[in-house]
Amino acid sequence: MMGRADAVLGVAGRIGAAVLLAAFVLFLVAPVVVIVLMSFTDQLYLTFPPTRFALRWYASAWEQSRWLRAAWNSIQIGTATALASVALGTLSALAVTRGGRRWLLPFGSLVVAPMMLPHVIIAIGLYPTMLDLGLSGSYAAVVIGHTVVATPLVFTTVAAALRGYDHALELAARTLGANGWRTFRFVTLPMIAGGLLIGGIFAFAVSFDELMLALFLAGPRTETLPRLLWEHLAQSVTPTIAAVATLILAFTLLLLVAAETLRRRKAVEPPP
Amino acid sequence: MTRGASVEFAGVSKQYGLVTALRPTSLVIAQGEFFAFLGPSGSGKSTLLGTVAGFIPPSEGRVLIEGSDVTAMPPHRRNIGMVFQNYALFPYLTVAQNIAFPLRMRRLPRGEIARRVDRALEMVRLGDFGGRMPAQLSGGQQQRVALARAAVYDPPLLLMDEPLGALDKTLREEMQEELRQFHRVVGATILYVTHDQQEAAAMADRMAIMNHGAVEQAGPPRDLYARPENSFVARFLGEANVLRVVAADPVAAGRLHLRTEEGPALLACGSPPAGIACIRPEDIAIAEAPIERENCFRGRIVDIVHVAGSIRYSVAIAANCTLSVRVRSDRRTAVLPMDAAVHVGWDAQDALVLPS
Ligand SMILES: Nc1ncnc2c1ncn2[C@@H]1O[C@H](COP(=O)(O)OP(=O)(O)OP(=O)(O)O)[C@@H](O)[C@H]1O
Ligand SMILES: [Mg+2]
Repeated sequence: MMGRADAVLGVAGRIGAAVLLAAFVLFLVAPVVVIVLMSFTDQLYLTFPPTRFALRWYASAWEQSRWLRAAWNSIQIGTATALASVALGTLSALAVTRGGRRWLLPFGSLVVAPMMLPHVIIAIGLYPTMLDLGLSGSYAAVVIGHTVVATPLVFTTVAAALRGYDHALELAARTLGANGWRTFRFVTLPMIAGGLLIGGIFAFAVSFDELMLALFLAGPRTETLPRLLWEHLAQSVTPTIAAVATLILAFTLLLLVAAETLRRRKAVEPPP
Repeated sequence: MTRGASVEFAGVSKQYGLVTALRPTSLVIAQGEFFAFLGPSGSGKSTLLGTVAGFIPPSEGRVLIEGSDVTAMPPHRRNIGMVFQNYALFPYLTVAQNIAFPLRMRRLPRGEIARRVDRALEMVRLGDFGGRMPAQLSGGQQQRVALARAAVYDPPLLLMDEPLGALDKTLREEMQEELRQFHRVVGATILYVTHDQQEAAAMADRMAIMNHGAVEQAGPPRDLYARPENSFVARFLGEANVLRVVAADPVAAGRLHLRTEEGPALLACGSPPAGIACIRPEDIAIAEAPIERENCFRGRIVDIVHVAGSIRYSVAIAANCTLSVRVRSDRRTAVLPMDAAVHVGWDAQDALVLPS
């Protein structure tokens, strides 16, 4: 029976949903749209709405070697971060889900802890450490910092993949004559390949967008795109910044779409 | 045909912290035997099998295959075939690749692998299915692939942990027949875990009844049914009317006069200590007239159940003593009516006297 109270609740629910949607558009989508639109201006300063469509600020970013170098740094650091976190995340996920030791379970929470910690805290912790190690400002320093925050993502996706199938597959492989390594190589790896790839993409994306750790750990030689953006923002807001931000946005979106496509394909058919 | 391997458990036990999964167990299984482990959930069947496969290191004791100690040997060196309840087929490999897996692990030449895979597919009547993915097969077909994969390298010992547990009743009975056929052809020793007593009795040469992590009794199915050593085995296999004995007085050589908690006093063959008396429903005769047996009681029919080929009466012979009586029936059998006053009877030798 549909009472008055239900009807009132229904209306309230719909109003609530509308408010949420409006807030989402206002605070999340609108700024992005504004930045993207502004990047195509032909003026010397940021204007909104743009008067005429032009690509001059994209060209200008392309011509400045500092932007290019920062982009190349970001790609290198992102790739190294992805590789390192895939290795570490997969190993920890294997230990926690397949180790068969009860004391390993809290270890899982420990691995994902950096996901909850503010990056600035991790940065404050890592900064003196890197100074002591003489790594401050090096690629290694940034990659280590990014790996700390990206590993939880790989851990989570790979652990989910490992929990998603029957452990008996590995036991079967053992009885069929596969030793530990070959069981991993021919059974575990194909089963988690999708999760591993998705985790790797996420790890790359996290590194590519990360600012705080890069501020503390990168040097002039190793500055990343977000760090360079930040530096420019502190001085003046030019349309170049909007152009670079738009490119980063597009690239990140592409990565997310790739990860999502992989995830769906994995849901439909097991990895080859 | 492979020669089956013998298996020996020598005081094998398994402890998980405070949980005892398996109490010290000793058991010898002969070459080529079809041996079933039967027991309720959590009784330690899989644990016992795991110690043979090598997944579960025993806390104590040794496992011997063909007389040699394999307790410390890793699973992949034991040359054992295993079939799992949920088949454990590799979902990303085709049927043929699944069956080829153990041969690839043994680094056999390509041609030899192809030949053996074909032969294995023929054996399980899946000749045309080699190119399919496991997900494209029915449950019964997947189970046959799992069997082919476990047998393709001719292991002398096959372990099966509830291999038919996920199949429906008809298919299960079909597969039982097929497995028996398979055992006759292949000749390997088979250790078979199930919690279905009919399945175990239908297939096994011998079986072990397990309870609370221990083997209660082992032997050929018929012997276990006819001569259970304790009430758990008596009740677990088939049906049993169980009466608690409060006093047992020897009346002649090997004969006891028993008084029971439930009321009726009866004559039984056996010797003290007498804890319980069991009478199988099919050993009890029922008629309206008094019955010429050593034990005869008057009672009233309180329930009638028709099952294929037989009728089961519940007959109340005392305030808190109702016996289950099973008689064969065909179309001409007259069915006694509900509430009828009847007599039930059995001979002293039909009652089993057990310590507890
Ligand atoms: N890894 C483990 N840690 C703790 N206890 C365990 C573990 N594995 C099994 N056990 C316990 O050991 C006992 C025996 O388990 P086992 O799997 O051998 O039973 P089973 O007879 O195969 O039962 P089922 O018919 O349900 O498969 C159970 O009580 C179970 O809870
Ligand atoms: Mg089990």
